[in-house]
Amino acid sequence: MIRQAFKLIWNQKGKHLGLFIEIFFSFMVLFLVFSFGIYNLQEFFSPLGYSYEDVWTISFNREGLEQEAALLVDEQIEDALRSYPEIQEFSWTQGNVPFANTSNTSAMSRGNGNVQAQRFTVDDNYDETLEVKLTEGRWFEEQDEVFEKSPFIITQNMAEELFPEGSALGQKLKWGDTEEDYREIIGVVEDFRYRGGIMESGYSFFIRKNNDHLLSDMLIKVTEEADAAFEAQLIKQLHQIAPGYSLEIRYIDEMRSNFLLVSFIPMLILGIIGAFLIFNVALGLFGVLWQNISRRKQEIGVRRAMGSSKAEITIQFILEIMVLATISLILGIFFASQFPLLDVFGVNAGIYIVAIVFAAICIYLLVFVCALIPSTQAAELHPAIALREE
Amino acid sequence: MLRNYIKIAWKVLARNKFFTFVSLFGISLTIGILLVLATLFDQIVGKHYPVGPDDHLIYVATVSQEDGKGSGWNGGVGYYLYKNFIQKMKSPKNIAVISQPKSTNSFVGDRKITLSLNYTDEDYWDMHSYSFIEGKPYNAEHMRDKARVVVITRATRDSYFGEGVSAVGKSIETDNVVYKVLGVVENVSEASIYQYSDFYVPLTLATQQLQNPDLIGQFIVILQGETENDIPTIKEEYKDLVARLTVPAASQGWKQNYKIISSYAMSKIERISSGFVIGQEPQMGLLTTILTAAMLLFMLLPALNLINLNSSRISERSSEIGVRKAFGANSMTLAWQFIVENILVTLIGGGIGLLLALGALEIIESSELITHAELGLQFNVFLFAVFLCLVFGLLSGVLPAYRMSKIQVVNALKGLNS
Repeated sequence: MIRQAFKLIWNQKGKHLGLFIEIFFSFMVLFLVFSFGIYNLQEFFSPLGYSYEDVWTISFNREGLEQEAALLVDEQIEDALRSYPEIQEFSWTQGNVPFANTSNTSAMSRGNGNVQAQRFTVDDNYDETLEVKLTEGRWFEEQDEVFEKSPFIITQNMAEELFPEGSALGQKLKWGDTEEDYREIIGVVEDFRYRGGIMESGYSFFIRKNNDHLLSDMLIKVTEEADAAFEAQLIKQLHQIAPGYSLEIRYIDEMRSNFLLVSFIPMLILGIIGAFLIFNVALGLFGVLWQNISRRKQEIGVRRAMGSSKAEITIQFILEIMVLATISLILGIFFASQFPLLDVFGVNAGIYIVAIVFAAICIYLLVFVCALIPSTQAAELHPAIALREE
Repeated sequence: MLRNYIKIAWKVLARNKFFTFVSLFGISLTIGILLVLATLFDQIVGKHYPVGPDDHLIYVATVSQEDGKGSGWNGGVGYYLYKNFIQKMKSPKNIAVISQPKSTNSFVGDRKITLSLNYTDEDYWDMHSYSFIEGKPYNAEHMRDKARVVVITRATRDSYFGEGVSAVGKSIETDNVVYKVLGVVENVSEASIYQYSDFYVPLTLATQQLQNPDLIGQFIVILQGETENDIPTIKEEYKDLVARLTVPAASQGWKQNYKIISSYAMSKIERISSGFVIGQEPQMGLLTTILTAAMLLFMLLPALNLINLNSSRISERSSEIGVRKAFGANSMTLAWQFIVENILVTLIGGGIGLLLALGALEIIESSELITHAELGLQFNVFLFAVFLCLVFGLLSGVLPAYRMSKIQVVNALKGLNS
C-alpha cells in the first residue's frame, strides 16, 4: 500500500515538488526553533553553583587615581564595610560579576588542545560571599599571597573535560597559548554559571587577585534589612571616603531578571515567528490538499464503485501525503544531522536529536491534520455523484 | 486593461473566501513583521530626534591600539586625541564631544533614581536639534567657569521634581554633587546610541578624564558636515589623521607596546556593519548581504506557500484560460495578467500588514522596551513596504503564472490542467 502511495506521488512529481520543498523548509525552521529553545530551557533549569540572593555589586571607577593612593582608599572602604551590621560578607572581583555583560575568557590547556573558559579574578572571601561549593581541595587563603602567579581553582565540568582519567587536584594547567605559564590546581568547585548558562562557554576558573592590579568590582552580601535607605547611606559614606570615584550599586537579582528578559526576548521573537510561519504553512497545505483531493473525484468514484470502503479511501490520501512528508523529512534530517556531526555550535548532540524528533513529530501531525478533513469529506461522496462529475 | 485585471482579481478574491484568507494572512503577517523590524532598525541608524534632518553627522566612537600579535587595548576617544588632533581638522563644519554615559544615583526621599550622565561641550548643542521645554543649554562661559549646571530630560524632571513642575533654576543632586538646572529637553530615545542621556553637564567638570594622556579614553567625537556630500571628505581627512598618529610619549610603559592604531569616523549604520568590533573597518557590503539574505529567507516559506496554493488553483480558472487562448491571447499576455493579479493581492495584504505593524509598534512603544522611543512609521519604511510587496508578488506569482499560461487550449477548455 505504501508502495502504491509512493508510485502515485512519483507519477505527479512535478506537481508535488512545491509541497516537498515547503515541508522541507518547515521542518528546518521547526528544527532550529526547537534546538534553540531546548538549549536555553535546559540551561535555565541547571543549578547555578552559587547563590545570588541579597547580593549587591558595587563597581568602582577610580578615574585615574594613582595606584598607591587608591590602595589606601580601598582599605578605608573595606573598614567602612566591615562596620555595617547589614553587610554579612564582601569580596573583590573584576568585571564579570553574576549576570553582568562583561566577559573575560582565556584559553586553558594541558599542553595540547584547549578549552575556552571564563576567568574570574577573586579574593579569599569570594566563596563565602556567593556560597560557592567546593567539591575537592580548598579555596584561596592568605598563604597564597606568596605566589607571584596565583594557582587555579577550576569547575567540575572543566576538570572532567581536561582530566578524564582522574582527579584534577594537584595537576598543572597552562593559561593562554603564547607563553609557557603552567600553574597548579588547588581546588575544584561545582559548575559555575555566572550568566545562568546563557551565552557563556560553561567552563570557568578562578585566580586570586594580586595587589599590583586593583579590582574594579565588589560583591556584598547583605541581610534582609538592607533597603534603599541603607543603600543611600552607604553611597554617601563611600563618596566621603573616595570623593573622586564614580560608583554604582546594583542588585544581582535585578541584574538577573534584566539579563533573562534580554536573553528571552530573542527566543520569544523566534518562537512567535516560527509559530506564524508554521501556522501559515498549515493553512496553505490544507488549501492545496483540499484542491488536489477534490480534483480526484472520478478516481474516488471508480474506487468506491469497485468496492473500496470509505476508510480505505481516507487512509490512501493520508498515506500519500505522509509518504511525501517522509521524503522531505529524509532530506531535512540529513541537513539537520550535520549540526551535531560537524559540532557547529559546540552544543551537546542530544539537544539536536531531541529537536529533530520533536520537529518530525510536528510535521507528521501537521500534514495528518491538514489531510484528514479533505480526505474524509472526499470519502463521504456517493460513488454515483462522484462518477457523474465526469 | 489594468482596470479589467483589477476587476478580475477582485472577482477571484471574492470567489473563495478561505483561499483569500490564507493568501492575505500570509502576506500581511510577513510584511507586518518585516515592517516592525525595519522600523526598529531605522530607529538606530536613521536621523531621529535629537538629530534633525539637516544635521549631517558622523561619529568617532572607538580607538584601538594593537601589537599585531593579537594583543591590544581599546576604548572610546581619549581627550588628548580630541584636543590635539581631531579639533584641528579642517573639513568638518563643527566638532563636538560627548562622554560615554556614566551611571549615577539620585535619591528622592527613599526612592532611588538611576541617571545616565554625559559630559558634553557647548558645540554639542549647536549641532543637534534638541527641543527645549524650558531654559537653554550651557554656553562657552559656563564651560570656562566650570559651572555646575545641567540640562536634564523631561523624564528626569518628572521623576525628580514631579510631573510637569518647572525645574529651571532649581538644584538637583546626583552622586552627592549638586547641579543647577539650566534647561529641560524632550526625552531622547535609547535607540539614539550616542545621544541618549538623562543628564547633560559641561565637559570641563570631567577633570580626571581631561588629564588622561592617552589616545584612548571615554569620549565620542561628533563631526558635522555642511551637507551630506562633506561626509566622505571628513572620513578621508580623519583616515589621514589616524595614519599619522603615534602612541603619545606620556602613555604608561605597557601601552607603548601597542603601536598599531586604528580608528574610523563612521555613521551609525557603518558602526553596526563593523559588528561593534572595535578597530574593525565598516563592512557595508557584508551587512547589506546579510540583511537581504535574512529577509529573503524569512519570506521564503510564505512565498512557497503562496506558490503552491496558486499552482493548485490553476484548474479553477482553466476554462477562462482556454477561452482567452482560443480567442488569440498569447502565453505572455496571460502570464502577465496573472502576475499583475498576484501583485494586486500582495498590495492588499501589504496594506493590512501596514496596519498590523502600526499596532505592534504602538504596543512596543507603550511597553517602554526601548526607553523613550517614539516608533512612528517613517516614509522610507513605507516605501520599503511597497517594495517588499512587489518582490513578494513577483516571487510567488511568476511560477504559477508560467504554468497557467503553458496549458494547452484543448485541455484548458476541457478543464484539465496538464
